[in-house]
Parts: sequence; C-alpha cells; structure tokens
Amino acid sequence: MQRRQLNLKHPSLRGLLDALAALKTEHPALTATLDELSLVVDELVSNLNKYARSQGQSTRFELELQLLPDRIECALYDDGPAFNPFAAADPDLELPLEERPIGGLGLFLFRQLVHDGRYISSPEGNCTQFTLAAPPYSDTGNR
Amino acid sequence: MSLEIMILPANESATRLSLTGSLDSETAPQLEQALEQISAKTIIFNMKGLSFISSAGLRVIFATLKRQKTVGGKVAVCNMSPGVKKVFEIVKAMPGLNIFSSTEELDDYLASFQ
Repeated sequence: MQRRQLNLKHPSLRGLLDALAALKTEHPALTATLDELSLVVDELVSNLNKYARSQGQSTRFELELQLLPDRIECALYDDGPAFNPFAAADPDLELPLEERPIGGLGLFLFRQLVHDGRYISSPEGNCTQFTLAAPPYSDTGNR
Repeated sequence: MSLEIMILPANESATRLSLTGSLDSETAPQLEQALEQISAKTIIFNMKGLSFISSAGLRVIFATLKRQKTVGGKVAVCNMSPGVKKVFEIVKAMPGLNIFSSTEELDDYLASFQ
C-alpha cells in the first residue's frame, strides 16, 4: 500500500466514526488499526466536546490521516478551548471494578493506544497528533 | 457504525444480549436503555459481532456489574474479538468479570447453575 492522505471533516462524531468504518472496506489489512483509531477518535472527540461544553463553547473537528503500511499517522484539529489530552491524570485501575469511580478511562485508553503523542495549542486552534501502529505483517496479509 | 442489540432469554434466570456493531459514546445509551428492562439474575453480553468498544461502553458494562453485585446477580461476557479484549485488558477489567472465549464455554457455565 502506498502512502495515502485523507482529510475527514464531519459535523458530528458519528460522521467521523462512519467515515473510518467505511475505510475498512478500502483497506481491509488495516481493519484492526482502524478499529483502534475509531476508539481513539471517540475518546478524544468526546472529551474535547465535554470540556468545550463546560466552558460554554462548541468545537469543530477535522481529522487528517496518513495511511501507511505499518502505521496510521493522525492529526485532529479543533477550534475549541485548549485541552491537553496527554496531561489528564490516570485512573486508579487497582480498585475492583465495582468500586471504581466513573470517568477517566477514555483518555487513559487513548494514551495507552497511541504513540508519538503531541499537543499543540495556538490562537488559531489546537492540534492533537499521534500515531497508531498496525499489527506486524502476517504470511496471509495483503499489505 | 450503529449498534444492534438482540435480547434472548438464555435460561430461567439468565438473559443474553447479543451486541453487533460499535459500542461507543453515541450507542452506549441504547444499551443502557435496553438493560433497564432486564432483571435477570445473570446478564450475559455476547460480543461476537462487536467491532469495538469505547470507555462509554465499558462504563455500561461496569455499571451493570455494580448493579448486579448489589442484588447478588452475575455478569458474564463471551466471544470478545481481540480488539475488544485488548480494551478490557488495558483497563484491567478481566479479573472482575466472568469471561468466556466461546458460547459453548459459557453454556457449560450456565448449566452448572441448573
């Protein structure tokens, strides 16, 4: 597979997730990575939206992807208030499930799944950059 | 991708929910709503058709576990895909749940209560 650049602009999280699901048909070898990307985008967009609402603001998103044989490089641009997803505290995972407080898992999952994370905020907007690694090549893989 | 939920009685005291699609922040309320109608002693989530689960989906599963424990009930999960299993592993949820790799394994577990 050659490098492929995509720019996804959707007014809703559902639109972004549906666009990522559609990409699995075009790139079946990246199915597992695209599922992880859907999870990561869900967590990121939900948290950025939640923070923006708490500040009385709304946010627009744009997702830029570089699809490569061994990884997907991503940049999520938003125009909401600055919120660094790499700075949130980790939840206490040693507590039994039924005693754990609600919340905090989403950004923890995000941070565990991505590599090379970077957050940039400027008056023009914010950008969360990260990379998702594809599983190793298999004998039957068609990448 | 949407979420499809099929609710089937597994036996006299257990209800099975077969989940297909995506259990994410937009579809998790659908599952919460479906669970409101269920008062079985054992609630089983069959995840065979689930392509991914987000933290919103995990919260519904954990809230169900919490509720079931308060009434002496159980929660079981079966047929996780590798991707879904990875999410449960990252948040260290595997030890707190009854997890079965196949429907047959789960049926044996259910039969042990009859």
